[in-house]
Amino acid sequence: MQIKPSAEIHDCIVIGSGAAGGMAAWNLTRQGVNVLMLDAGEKFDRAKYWSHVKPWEARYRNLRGQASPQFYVDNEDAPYTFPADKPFELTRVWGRGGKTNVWGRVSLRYSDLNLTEPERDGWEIPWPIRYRDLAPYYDKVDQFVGICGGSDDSPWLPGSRFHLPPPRPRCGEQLLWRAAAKSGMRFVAGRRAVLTQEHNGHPKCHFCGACGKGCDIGAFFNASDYLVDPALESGKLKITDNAVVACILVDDRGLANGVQYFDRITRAEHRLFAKRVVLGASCVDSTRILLNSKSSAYPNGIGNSSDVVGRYLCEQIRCNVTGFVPELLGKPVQNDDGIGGEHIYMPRLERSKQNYLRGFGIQFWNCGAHDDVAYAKKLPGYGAELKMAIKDRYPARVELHPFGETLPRRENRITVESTPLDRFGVPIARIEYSIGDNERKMAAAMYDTVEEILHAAKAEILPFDRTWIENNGGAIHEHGTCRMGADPKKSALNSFCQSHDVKNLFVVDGAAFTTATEKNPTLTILALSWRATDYLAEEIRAGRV
Amino acid sequence: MINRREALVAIAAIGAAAPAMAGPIFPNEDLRILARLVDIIIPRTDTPGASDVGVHLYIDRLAGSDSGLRWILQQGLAALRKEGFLEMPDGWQSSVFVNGPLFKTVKDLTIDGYYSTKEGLADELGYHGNTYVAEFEGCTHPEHQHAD
Repeated sequence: MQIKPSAEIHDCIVIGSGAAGGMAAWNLTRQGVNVLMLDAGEKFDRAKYWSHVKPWEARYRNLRGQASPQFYVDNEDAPYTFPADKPFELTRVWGRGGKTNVWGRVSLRYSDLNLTEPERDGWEIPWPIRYRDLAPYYDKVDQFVGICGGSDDSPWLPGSRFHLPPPRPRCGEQLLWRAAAKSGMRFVAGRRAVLTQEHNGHPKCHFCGACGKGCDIGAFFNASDYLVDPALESGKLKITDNAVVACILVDDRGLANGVQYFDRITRAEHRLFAKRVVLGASCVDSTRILLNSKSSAYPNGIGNSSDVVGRYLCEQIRCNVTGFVPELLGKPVQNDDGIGGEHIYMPRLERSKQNYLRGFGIQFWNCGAHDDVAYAKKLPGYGAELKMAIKDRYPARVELHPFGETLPRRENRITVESTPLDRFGVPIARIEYSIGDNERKMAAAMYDTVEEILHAAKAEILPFDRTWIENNGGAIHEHGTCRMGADPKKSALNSFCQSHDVKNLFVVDGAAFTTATEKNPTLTILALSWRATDYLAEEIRAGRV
Repeated sequence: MINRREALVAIAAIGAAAPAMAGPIFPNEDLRILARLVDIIIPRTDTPGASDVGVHLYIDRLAGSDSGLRWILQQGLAALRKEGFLEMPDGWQSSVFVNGPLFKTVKDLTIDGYYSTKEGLADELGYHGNTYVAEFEGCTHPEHQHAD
């Protein structure tokens, strides 16, 4: 295969175009840095989204051989592997904006209690930053992106002065909130990156509830419209599509000086040169790239003198329970779509006698009328009686979805040694990950809490299996495999996402997280990437990188 | 249980591009049996039943692209055919089906098929979402409100 070298030396290469890479490119270009972005896919065509294709119409379209836009990476196209007894479900979106095209939009600030928890419980290293470091960036992200939410502020969930108005809760959410409050459990307005009013030139949500099919107007944050497009307008950003990065190149001083990538369509190999490299390809792919960047200076992967790169993979554990609140049984059906997904949230509870480390928060999906009627399969019987039971329960449904932190473990790791090669001849990632006793104890507490809420609401509970925990990878929140920390022997990055070993290499996605926390990571990825690239821009101005 | 990614892609997951529509997979008599089975699950009441909205044909199409499902249904339908299912009285049909091996499979597929039609989802259940709404009202019932 012909190698296509390029003599040009770029100011900065950003790998990835999602929350991490999109933010890096936007923030660097607006500070005058020329950026070349490498995107493993292409821009999605919003005109082709099926946002407003009704379920029954989608069926007919499928019959005619039509398919909705395929956001998700086909694992045949971009394979990864895992031990047969430890399956891991990896979900990736390659293409402009990455997973933010279809993300869950839950936007929760990490608190000092999250960031310092390892200090208190002694499990692994704490974050090298505190809330005071993140807060100004959370403020900026909230204002820039547009996050709706309430005015609440509490130790586990710091507040924001910049929330857009939250949507009103649905009936089922109100009833759960009221019931939980009577049992001493505190709910808050959900915090979501959905525009409940026009914001920074982006249109207001029209409450069609089809966010998972891609938003036809861009009314929730996606990195393509909100970050990459404005960066392009600056004239400082160039983008190469379908560039699947294999490794980061190193010069004889041990600095990153470019990347090798393969064209996803033509398979041609390319090498590009740059003064700085910012990696934001999402946790697993960024880690694969780092570990495949072997050289005499870095025999086990670039920036990995600590041997932590690839280790401490943490996802989150999930379970869910469905119930039916009595006040709504058989009542008239409303349009409950709202902003798609929950309008309320239950922050982490302080529990006095918990038998596990870390904790969980609870989200609420599909409360009320929804196009998914799968609950009906768990109702007993058949015939007119079943038909009526399904109809009566339809407006009364509530779903509780706890998300819990998993502990970082050294043996939960991504490797590229002795793995099969992809179609470009590059070793693929092998993910070896399992949860432990701590997570199983936490899951038991999740079920207890969910039941407590449903009992308080006097809800009928759909039968469930208390031993069920979502498959590993199912939260789609991978973190930790290139973690930041104060001690270079125990971490790969400093608090500005800069490699301890390679000062012109930055890793700005979920890989940089020291712990997973119980919260959804994207808001914090945006804040950390903004903070990291403020620092990088300053280092460039000062001539230090 | 609800898988997060499945929930995110929701309706898009109903069917990846199906092969161009061919004729039914199952022979006529088996299709008639299948139509009867889906009606035992969701019968016609003051609203349409499952076969009224073509759920048996929907299942037939799924079987066309899923060999495992096709095998299960072929075996089950052939057994019912040999028992003279269509000639049995209604109550007898229900009892044979409900206590037989096809019940859970056909029940789940009937629910998927019926409640993803306009008749099942919109007309029967009252779903009128996935549409433009200027302002989301949410819960306006004074009796549902929480205290804080």
